[in-house]
Amino acid sequence: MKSMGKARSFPGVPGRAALALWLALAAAIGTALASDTNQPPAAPDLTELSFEELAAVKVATVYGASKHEQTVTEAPSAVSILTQEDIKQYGYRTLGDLLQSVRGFYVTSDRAYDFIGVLGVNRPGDFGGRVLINIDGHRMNEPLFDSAFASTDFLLDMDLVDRVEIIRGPGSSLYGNNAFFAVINVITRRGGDVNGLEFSGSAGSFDTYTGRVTYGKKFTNGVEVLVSGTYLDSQGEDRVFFPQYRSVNGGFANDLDGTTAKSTFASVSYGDFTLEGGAIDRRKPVPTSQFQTVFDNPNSLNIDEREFAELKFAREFAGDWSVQARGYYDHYRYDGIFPFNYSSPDPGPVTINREWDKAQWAGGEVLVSKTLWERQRLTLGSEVRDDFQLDLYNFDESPRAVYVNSHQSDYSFAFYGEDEVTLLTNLTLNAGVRYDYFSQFGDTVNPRGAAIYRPWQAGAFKFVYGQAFRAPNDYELNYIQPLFRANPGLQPEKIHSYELIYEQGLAARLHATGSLFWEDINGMISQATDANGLNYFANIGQVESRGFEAELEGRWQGNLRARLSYTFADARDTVTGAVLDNSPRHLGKANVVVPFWRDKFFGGFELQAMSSRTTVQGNVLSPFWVANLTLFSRELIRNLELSASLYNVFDTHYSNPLSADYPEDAVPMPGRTFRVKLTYRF
Amino acid sequence: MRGCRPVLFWIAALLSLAASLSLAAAPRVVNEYELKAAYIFKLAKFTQWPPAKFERDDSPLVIGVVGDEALDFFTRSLGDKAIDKHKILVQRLDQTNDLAACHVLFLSRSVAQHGAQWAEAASNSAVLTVGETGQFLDQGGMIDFVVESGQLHLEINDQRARRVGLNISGSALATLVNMGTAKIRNF
Repeated sequence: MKSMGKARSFPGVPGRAALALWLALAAAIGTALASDTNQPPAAPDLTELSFEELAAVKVATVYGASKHEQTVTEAPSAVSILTQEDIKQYGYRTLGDLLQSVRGFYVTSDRAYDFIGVLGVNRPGDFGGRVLINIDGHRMNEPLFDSAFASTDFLLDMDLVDRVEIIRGPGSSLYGNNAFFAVINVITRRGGDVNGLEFSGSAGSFDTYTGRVTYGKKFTNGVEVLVSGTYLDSQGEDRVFFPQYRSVNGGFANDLDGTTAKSTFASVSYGDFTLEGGAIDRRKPVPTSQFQTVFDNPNSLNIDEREFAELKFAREFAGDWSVQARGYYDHYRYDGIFPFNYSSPDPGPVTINREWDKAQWAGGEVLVSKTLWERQRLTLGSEVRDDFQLDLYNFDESPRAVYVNSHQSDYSFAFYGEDEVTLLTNLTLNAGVRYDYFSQFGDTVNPRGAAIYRPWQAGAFKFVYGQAFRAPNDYELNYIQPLFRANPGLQPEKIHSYELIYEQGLAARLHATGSLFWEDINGMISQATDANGLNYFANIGQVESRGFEAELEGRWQGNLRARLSYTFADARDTVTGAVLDNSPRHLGKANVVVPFWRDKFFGGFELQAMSSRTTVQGNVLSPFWVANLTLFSRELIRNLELSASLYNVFDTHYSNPLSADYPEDAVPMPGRTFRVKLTYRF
Repeated sequence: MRGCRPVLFWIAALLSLAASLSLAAAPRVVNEYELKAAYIFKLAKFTQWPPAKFERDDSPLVIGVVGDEALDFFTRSLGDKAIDKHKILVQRLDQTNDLAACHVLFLSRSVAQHGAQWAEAASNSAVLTVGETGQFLDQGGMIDFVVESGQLHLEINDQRARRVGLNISGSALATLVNMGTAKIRNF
């Protein structure tokens, strides 16, 4: 097996050279941009706009860092915000595409799901429950596996995103479960932003087609409506090559990489009330032998269905009170089809094994916020939730044999509070704590404190300490089968996080961020084997990630913008001292949008570099870099947007690590692909 | 790779389309202080100070900024601008004694708890006082910026401005109110 890693290294792009090349390129872009500031402005200066034109200009704000709207400098965390403009100009197809460009993040796809890694932690086999994803503040992680869907299984079409707030650091003191490394708050476009009927269609490599129809309107009586539907159909790569299966079909998984997905989303708001909801049904065949299934079998399939509806009330009262309340219902269903050969490695009949899992839950949250004595903002909130159906059911179709049959329910509640005090003119303190109770295993308390100090002009230091947790999910608690037993003592895993962030506005529209981080994870839920040979989940993992990040961001007149970031993360299992699997020490990203012509024709270019990673089987995957290019235009023809994107422009060959549940060690990723897209508004 | 040729086609198509023209503008997202600087500049343009407030025809129009966070953006955005013959001068303000020399006072969020003192200190001279907390009018200020859903709104008490001899153009106010950008709160 050791030789496999070698087979996957890429001729022409050896590791260090790739990184060096990236750094050189990044430096070149940086210098080019820095020297560009003397050029005449391409778009009018804000002071030259009329009041009407100024009204169309928006301010960059963040909601999710404190559950109320703040500008980025006020937020007690390192925040990144990407907007619909970024999505268009860089050609992001999924939330995973977008996150891939964010400092410190790396998304690992196994061609079934995308898993979000942060600060060097993205262990193969974990379902991604260490990042919380919200749509308009509504939690999208489901309770069976904690999955944070970020690929074609994400409920919202990227065209419906107004902006994405990426709030780094522990967020459990406000958000509870899963807000471990970061909270990703996706904010949707409102009906008034669409203002009419919008059609969008795209075509791309591997016979990938998408279509979307959206209607949005803000009526004069104050009612705002948005309704949208999206269809995605992709054949996927015809043949995906796995060297270890050379003896079977030459190592190719054939026609097993397609996707179909149907999603809808709607929101209606009137006065202080908003009702919104959405649904997605995604079907994804799987080219890998997930869970040791038969390689290249046409039955292998994952079906994910996710739905939610939420009614929200938000109101500002006189005397600077504000109240928010929400009530919601959620549903998740997973249907997995696994073709097994139980006589393996000998030839034998294929038995179809099915996984039917279903969860339903409903809950509510109330949040009250008040400004006291002009220098203090106090937020108090409470949340209750009833997971009234948590079903895990695994069986063979024929001959019928049931392995897992678990029907559970769980209720939970939480109280939280946050206080923001301005102590001195240049010193703000922010402290919060949240108590969570879960009926299946008990409670957890998670505090957080941040100090924001502005010692000089345009500079801010933020020191953040916090604890956060990931609760054991239903799968970890109740997936009991002949080879798996329960562990009644299973507790949430915890992180203690220390971060020092320095933000500095520099001359000529540049903004620099540097941060030092130390993340200490205790009781990480991991698979263990007892004396009787039975597997179970236990709080045995100890992980530490230490490192630093640096980012330089620039915005110039005429919408020229660039981002350049580097992350060093040393993430280790502190029990063995070994570096974690799928943990790159170096991550580099460069993004630039160049306005070619007015506000109408742009080029978006990005480079993403990742250093080597080890796999579960101990092999090393070579470093690589990927470049993406998008040309985007709007209003060249009235009401029409056109874009053309090339992903992985230089056709880099790279692979992602798989978990111990796969006989394969890694899965190869697609080479160069393209997409063209057209959006028309009536 | 499959798919290269269609892309080249599209690139060519887009480039050739670039010759045609159209009207609509795209939404722009900027730093809050760039936008606030622009509004202050526009409002100053539509405000008349008592003639005595300018020593000479070409005396500078002084914008005093209290608190650090806005200063850099204001200097960059307005440092090279002028209204009529008055060059804009952005100055950092530390104490209320220096207030009399200013035409506009901007009070940043970080010093909001002293809003009432600054408003009080300015209440006897022709200074257009601007804050950004949503409470500055209650503290005695004239203009307050509030950000809601990324949109910048203004609350204006023009009576207070008139009381110290400042005249904000009625048509500018009407435009802002009609667009829903500003609310007049005289009390």
